[in-house]
Amino acid sequence: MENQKKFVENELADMAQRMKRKVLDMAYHAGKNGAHLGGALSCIEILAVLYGSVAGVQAQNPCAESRDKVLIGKAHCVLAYYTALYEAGFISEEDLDSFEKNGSDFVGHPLKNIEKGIEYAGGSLGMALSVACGMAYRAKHKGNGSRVYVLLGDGECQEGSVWEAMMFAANYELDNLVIIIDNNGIQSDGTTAEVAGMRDLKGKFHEFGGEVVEVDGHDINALKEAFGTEHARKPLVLIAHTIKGKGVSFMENQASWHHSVLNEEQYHKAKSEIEGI
Amino acid sequence: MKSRNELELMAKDMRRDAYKMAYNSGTKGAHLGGGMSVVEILAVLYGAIMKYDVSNPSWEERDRLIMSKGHGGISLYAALKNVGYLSQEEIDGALHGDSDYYEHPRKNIDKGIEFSGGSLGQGLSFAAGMALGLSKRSNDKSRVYVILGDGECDEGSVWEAAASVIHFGLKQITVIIDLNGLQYDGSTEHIMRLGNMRSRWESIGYDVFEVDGHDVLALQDVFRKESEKPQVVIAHTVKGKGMSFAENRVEWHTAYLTEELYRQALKELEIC
Amino acid sequence: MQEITKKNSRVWSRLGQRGTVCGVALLEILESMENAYVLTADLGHTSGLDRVMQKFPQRFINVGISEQNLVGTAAGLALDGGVAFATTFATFLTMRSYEQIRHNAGYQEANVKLIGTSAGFAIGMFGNTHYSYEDIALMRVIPNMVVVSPADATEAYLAIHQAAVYQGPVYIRLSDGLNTAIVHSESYAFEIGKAELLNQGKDIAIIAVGGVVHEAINAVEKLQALGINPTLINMHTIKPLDEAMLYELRDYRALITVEEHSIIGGLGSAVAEYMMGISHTTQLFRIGIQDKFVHPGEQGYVKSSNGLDAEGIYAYVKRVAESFGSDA
Repeated sequence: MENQKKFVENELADMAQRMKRKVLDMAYHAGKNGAHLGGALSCIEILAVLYGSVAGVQAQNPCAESRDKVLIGKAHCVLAYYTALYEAGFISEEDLDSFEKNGSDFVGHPLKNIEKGIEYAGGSLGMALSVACGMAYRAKHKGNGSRVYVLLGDGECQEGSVWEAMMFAANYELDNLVIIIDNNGIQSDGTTAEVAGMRDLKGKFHEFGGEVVEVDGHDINALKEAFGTEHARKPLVLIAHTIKGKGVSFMENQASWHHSVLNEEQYHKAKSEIEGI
Repeated sequence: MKSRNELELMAKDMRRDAYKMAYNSGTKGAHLGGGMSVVEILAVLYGAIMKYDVSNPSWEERDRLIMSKGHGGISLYAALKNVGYLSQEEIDGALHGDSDYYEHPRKNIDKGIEFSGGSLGQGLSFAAGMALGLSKRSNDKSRVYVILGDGECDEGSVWEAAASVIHFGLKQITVIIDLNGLQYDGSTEHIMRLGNMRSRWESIGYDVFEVDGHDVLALQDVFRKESEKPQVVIAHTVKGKGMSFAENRVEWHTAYLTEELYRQALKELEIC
Repeated sequence: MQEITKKNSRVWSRLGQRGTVCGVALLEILESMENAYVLTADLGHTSGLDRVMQKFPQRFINVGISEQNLVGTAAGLALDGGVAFATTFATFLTMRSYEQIRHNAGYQEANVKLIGTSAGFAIGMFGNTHYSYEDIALMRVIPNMVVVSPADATEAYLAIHQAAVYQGPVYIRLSDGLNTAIVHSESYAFEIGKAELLNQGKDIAIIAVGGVVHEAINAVEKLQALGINPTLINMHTIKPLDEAMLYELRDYRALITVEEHSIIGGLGSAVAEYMMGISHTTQLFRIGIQDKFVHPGEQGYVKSSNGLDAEGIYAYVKRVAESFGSDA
């Protein structure tokens, strides 16, 4: 497990940078199919820290009994997810390049494939947390020390099933469960405030029994620290404040970039912005 | 304002009818536990708080009651009979044979039943839609009361609806939580911890009041409070209230009255 | 696993399908499979799981009244090498958590066993919210899902044991009730996907499923007294359907399906889908709930008011036989 934790800060920053580049490449090559760019760019650092440092995932031995598991609830972040799996050694460059091509396994929402590190198929919001609870319960029951990380979108938290699962996690004291909320404030139809009046997510998760920490979701050091929070007899909930479309000026905080087509001009502009040119 | 005596008499009448329905239903049993915990809540709502017109059941400006915890049907029938929606014959025939009044009420506006209950977790969304409709029709006279069980709050759909009531600013909604502390399999604390219900609802954006759910005057006061937000009334109640042998006993969620227990229940009713 | 004996089938019929599965079989399965879990949504006592919860507190999980979470959590246990039995009323299990079932059990083939209790209108006066006569249709359409509806307690016992060792999602549809009719009182070769021939007759075949199989048996006895001898099949597995058995019926004049379920999407539809492809002559009739919500009442009342008791089946088959005239 420890072999995954060798990354130091600079390496994680480099990893995140490579992921961003790749995300833009993949989105561009997806052509007119378009891709979910906004919600991918908001969770790059979260996934970099998870796959590069925190989670004990094992690309050499993907089915290892004691492995940590990462589940993605907001599966429309596939671009970031696939690139993280690539960085962690689960999938090949070829796999990445097949993104959204007919016949490819790497489509717009991930297909379950343990060998490739994909623990759970995504695409239907609100389901992953219950499944993560089942896995965490079993890990505790087996006593194998395995931890379960699950990344949810903030919009996803409008699903009632998230709160059913949260009550379960608190009731059964799943202290091997970590929930990360990519709190970018925007969903498909607009801001989470406009569409669904979401407010005080921290208070709500607290009230439903979580140990809640807020963190800057683009600050690698802060994320690492937040993942280390003690959470005895409770699930840990990291509310990661993020920016949808982070790093690309014309995408940042724009609901229209939830799912969009990237044209050539935009691609080059985006590329140069993330390179800081 | 009604007096304590008037409201308690109404509650007593309702219990008498409820026992009768349960007894008539034979050994199949009835949901007496969760029925008895809401008797005073319904007595106060129908006896002192809600506006309705039995002779014009679909009156636009009526207040609406959504019995989301449909297993409280037995007490809803008793309340509806008390105020004239249902007849004594309908009460006598309920819960058995080919009656239209089975354990979980079916929507029937003419009889004052606004919602088909029985599948938990659906009433609050329904109420939200109803209240939105009232707002769109510029009806600011009607309130919508929704009675939820505490166990019912395990359902995620309750929390979807809870957030949406706040989002749409539906301040004509009063959510009443029958906090009797028991669900089918045991105590809510044991089966699925609800945590602090008061702060949980407050964190979502409600004005929350707590009240003894069997104190008719306290209930009457709390239902008269005005708020700029949707309200939650957490009613602390006793499951099986009024029947010493059933109070706080989970096995009385649904159970049947033997002749002996039926007589005992009636006797206890007359003493108090 | 216990042998099928007269004594056992008597005991189990007293417990009924639900009581046998939840009070006897699941206990045995938890004893023999250390990776098995039983989950309920606040219906532990009502389903007869008391012994399970006492004996296996770690592997009995109550999720409270949250059916979507019931199926999700079961899937999480199953995707990690467990075998998870999730049970609640059939209506809430199959309808409230439908998408969770499709996504987790169907799409990702989580090894969950969904046990729907009070299927049909077994729960009597509780009314339509607690009835389920759409569940076969809903479960049948999900890829990878196996759908079994036992005829009696003994068959329920055998079905749940087979489901436990089968790799993949299974929906088992149970009737409630104590002191239920006995269809099987001695050892027989139950196999998921293999229908059971209860009577070899001719021209007309009754294909029944679930708790109404015994009503069909009684109907056949009465018909035989009139000289009408229909074939009778217990199609306990609706998916995969025993097509080999149905193939044998391709030259029959009439097939009559009987189910405590809507005539839309259930056994009748499954048989129709298959027969239309292989037979040009057989007529199909479906006895079940017409496209409506029934008037609730006790199970016997709802059965008889919808033609699903022995009398109703008898009258229906008799009418069909008579319509064929003397050449039948």
